[in-house]
Amino acid sequence: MTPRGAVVSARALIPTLLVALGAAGFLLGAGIAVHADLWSSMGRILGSSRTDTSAAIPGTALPGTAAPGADSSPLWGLARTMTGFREEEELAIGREVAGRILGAAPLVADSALQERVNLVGRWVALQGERPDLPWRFGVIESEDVNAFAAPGGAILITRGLYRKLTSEAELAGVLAHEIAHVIARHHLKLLQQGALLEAGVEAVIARDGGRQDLARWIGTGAELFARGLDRGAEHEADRMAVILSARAGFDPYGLPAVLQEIGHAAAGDARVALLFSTHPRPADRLTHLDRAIGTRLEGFRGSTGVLLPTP
Amino acid sequence: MKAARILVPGLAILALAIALAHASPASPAPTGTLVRNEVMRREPFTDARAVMTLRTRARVTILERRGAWYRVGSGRRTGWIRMLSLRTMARPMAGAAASNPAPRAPSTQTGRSGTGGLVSTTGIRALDEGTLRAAVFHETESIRLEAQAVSTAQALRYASDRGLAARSLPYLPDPAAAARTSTRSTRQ
Repeated sequence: MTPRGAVVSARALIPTLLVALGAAGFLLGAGIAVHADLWSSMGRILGSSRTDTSAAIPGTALPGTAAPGADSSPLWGLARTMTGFREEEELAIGREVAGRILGAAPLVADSALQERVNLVGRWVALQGERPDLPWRFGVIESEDVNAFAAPGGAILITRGLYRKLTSEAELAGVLAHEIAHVIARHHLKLLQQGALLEAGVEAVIARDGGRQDLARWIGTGAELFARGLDRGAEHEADRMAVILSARAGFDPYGLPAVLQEIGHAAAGDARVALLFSTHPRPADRLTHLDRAIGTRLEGFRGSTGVLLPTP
Repeated sequence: MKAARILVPGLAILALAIALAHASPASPAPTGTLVRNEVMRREPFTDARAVMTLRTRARVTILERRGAWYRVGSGRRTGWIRMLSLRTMARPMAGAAASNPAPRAPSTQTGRSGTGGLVSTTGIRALDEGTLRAAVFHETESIRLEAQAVSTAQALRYASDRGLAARSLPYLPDPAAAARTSTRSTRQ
């Protein structure tokens, strides 16, 4: 037991945890430069809040029957055991994250648009391994081009990104990328890594009884974690998104088309700054998808669909 | 009746004029660069007749997309090439974008992008790291978000109305996995 103790409840710690997450550019995820102190604080929070790392996550059994076309990849089993969060914790974290983003950018006041985005999103989410999550989607008031996936199935896309879309298939592709982050628990895994890191640090403290060179040690570890996993997570979400879209009957090239569109946004445009700083470059993502798809989708036809106009 | 016969073509011409006026200024057709040698085809199919061969780094104008294919223009010729055989090119800053505040410091160097978030041209704060860090949980909006969620049944009805049928398809394998595995086994 650490001096910080396990007495503090997980719920009370969520807000602090989210500050750290927000700073990490939670959203669309990856490639972000994460600071050592950030990782260290995330780990601290988690280290004291998690009581049982081996706890099973109830309610997350693969619902294969309900998901047409879902394939049970061994990856997800690994994700479950690795994150160690119970589903109710995941949902609480997600509610808090989404609520904070909404504090910065409220929902666009257009119920027809919001409903349509929810219908498309939910239908795509049904093609994955976690169809029974409380999936909810929202278009938010921001001219930035970005989208956010909160654990537990809360997904937000900016009006600025929505405006760049030209078909329902493209909307499906963007939502599918975010859905994939939730299915694969990418953000929860990041949190868990913070906790593991902290556990390692505490072992060093216990052994050496001091904090010499600790900052340097954490720095190196955190950077390796952040760089290696984040890019992989983004690429994985892209690969999954193409297939989730296809399973839902949409043109699977919706997401690649959006990446092409974002790719020719001016690099200095402030509206894409966060997206560009938290993700591999669109061109790299397209190269990855190109290699992953190869000829696999040859002759595959999907629906394009017409978007509701932007309010 | 007679009035309608005159009015309809008139409206059509007007609509066309408006469309042209909106299409031409400030948004030149996007361009792309080939990342491999690629055959431009008459139709968006692998076995369609070849129009010409484009070399790596050739620059084309993107005209439209259909599924995995872009219709592109190169010189005076147009045809279809695979979308993933090209990458779009960044536009120079122009028009509204150029009037944005100075770009933020690249986060890859600092890990942080400013203090409080920039204000965009619309007056809405940019959703950057600083803004998100300072954001406060919004109860009412959270309730709205939960309330606008749709049920599985509604989603199924939507899909059926659209003729969207679920299909079975395995996820794409990670093309980098094989490379990583071989590197690992070399190290051991």
